[in-house]
Amino acid sequence: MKKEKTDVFFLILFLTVLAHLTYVFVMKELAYQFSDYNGHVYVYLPNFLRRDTLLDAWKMVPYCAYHVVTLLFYKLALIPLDVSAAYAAILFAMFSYLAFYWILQRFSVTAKLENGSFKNMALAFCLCIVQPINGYWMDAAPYSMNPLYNPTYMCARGFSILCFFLLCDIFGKQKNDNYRGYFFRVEEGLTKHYVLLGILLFLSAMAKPTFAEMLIPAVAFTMLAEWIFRIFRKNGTAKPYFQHCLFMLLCALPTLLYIFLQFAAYFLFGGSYGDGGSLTITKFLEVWSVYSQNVVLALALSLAFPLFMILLDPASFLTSEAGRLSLACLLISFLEAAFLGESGPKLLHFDFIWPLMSAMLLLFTVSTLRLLSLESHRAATLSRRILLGIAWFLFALHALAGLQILL
Amino acid sequence: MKKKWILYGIALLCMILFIILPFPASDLSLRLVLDEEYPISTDTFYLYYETDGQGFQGDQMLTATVDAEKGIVTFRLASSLQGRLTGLRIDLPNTEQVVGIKDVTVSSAGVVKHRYHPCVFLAPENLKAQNGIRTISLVNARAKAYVGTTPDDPYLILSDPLTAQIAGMFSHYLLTRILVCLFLVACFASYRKNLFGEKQVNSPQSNTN
Repeated sequence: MKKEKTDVFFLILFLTVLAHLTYVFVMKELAYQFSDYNGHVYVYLPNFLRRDTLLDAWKMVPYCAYHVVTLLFYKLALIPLDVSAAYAAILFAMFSYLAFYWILQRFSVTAKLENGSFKNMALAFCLCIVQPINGYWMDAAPYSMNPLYNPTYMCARGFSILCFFLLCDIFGKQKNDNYRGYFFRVEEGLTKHYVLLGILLFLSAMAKPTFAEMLIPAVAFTMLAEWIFRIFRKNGTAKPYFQHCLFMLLCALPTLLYIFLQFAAYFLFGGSYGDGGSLTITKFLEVWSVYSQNVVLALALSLAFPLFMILLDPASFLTSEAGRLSLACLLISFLEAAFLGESGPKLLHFDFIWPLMSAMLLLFTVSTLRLLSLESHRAATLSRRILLGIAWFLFALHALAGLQILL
Repeated sequence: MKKKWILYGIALLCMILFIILPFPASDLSLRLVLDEEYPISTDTFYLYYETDGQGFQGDQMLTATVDAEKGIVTFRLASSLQGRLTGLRIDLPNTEQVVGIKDVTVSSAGVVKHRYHPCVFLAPENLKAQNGIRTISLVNARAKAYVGTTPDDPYLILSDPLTAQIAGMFSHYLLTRILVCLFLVACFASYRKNLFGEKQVNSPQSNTN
């Protein structure tokens, strides 16, 4: 077979395996009364089927992309509801896989890496399933960068990956006119990329707003710090950079408006659990410590591989756009998880952990790209190869943890 | 140069203070891992705890049901009990049965602090008193202990030395704090040493301001 056909064959093979694993997992989850899938499909979704409850349905779950796709299968293709739910999950899982694969492929080509497309397919598959390293005898209760049990997060995942790396290229172009982009071709200007960013961010908010809740403050923080830094440098770059800040704000505006609308639906118009309840500031780690006896250990188990990569090559995480932005996302989302909550009965739902999960996935992906880069260009000595081998081992442990859940 | 060493000194001082200053205790989990032959059920176990030598009281009690999948009973003692715990009593389900225990662990701050061999944990010298118990069989060869219970309020009171040993396992996250500081120092050392050479030419990781 020609190389192109081989690539398509293996790509479809990986997609098929992922689809099967997703199908089996979702059907198992649907059978469990208190699972997220069961709640979204059998409690929230039926309200979308009737005109008189449509508004209530939207107020209950304003981020309804997953539900809409499920309904398309259910109403248009007349597929049973549980199978429709599984098919919708498969669709978004495949989208995430293709997003990961595309990012890896683009990076491999532009950074002139040695790894072929099969390796990228395997890595994309692993990135779709990686989980924290954990054991039932530990009380750390680490949170996952891929919470397979939650349909709306898995729905937003693909958009979040594309958004993040598009941002990295936009940042690169904003700072260097000659920058051509590693994932998106930004050499011809940023206008269409700003529009694309706005669309991807909005779609992610339609799927689950928690990614945007993390990314928008992280980008604002990063750009504000950069702008202030340029003011102090007094080299005349502060004013043009401020224009970039405004463009980014414009990109985020539709998403911000939709998120505010979702918050209003939740806290003012009735929302998921009836009225009452609002955004609240908690004590440091007040909610998290209910579930985890050691938050530091929980983070270490969730991020063993990225933390090792930061240990190996801290400079790249501090100087590169992807590294800095992923660390900013991690910091902002950690603060959200540590200090924010919903008052009333939803406090212990710990809904502000979701942004941290997104940040962990971004850091994981950035770390994987960095590992590939070091492996291709910097593995000249035995000691370096050993260190990189340890990194791959940690990556494999995370992937193994994912397989243990799915199989 | 001098400024650099002053900054290093401040950083080192902060780390030392972070490690040595008092830190709140973590909760303590006592886990009984039951034998596979234990019937799958939602039996409830109880743990009564005595504080400051004032005897076991009804409101100082924890309940735990068996995790059917793993066969584990977990009691979580609040960190506020640290320094005050003087007695522990494990109440088994009020039925006539044989409860097989194959492991006992004590965890705090998310890690196992001590694992007790069940034959040691339930050895006569580690039990102060018991009630409603027909027999306790310690099978060293299989590393299991079997407790025959009656429907008459079966419980085991742990001995004072064993209770004191368990009570001393509340963690103050010392190792966690040390490891956090070590990680930061290691990252700094790695940065200075530049383990993987100069910045690459063809990588987004080399795209700086």
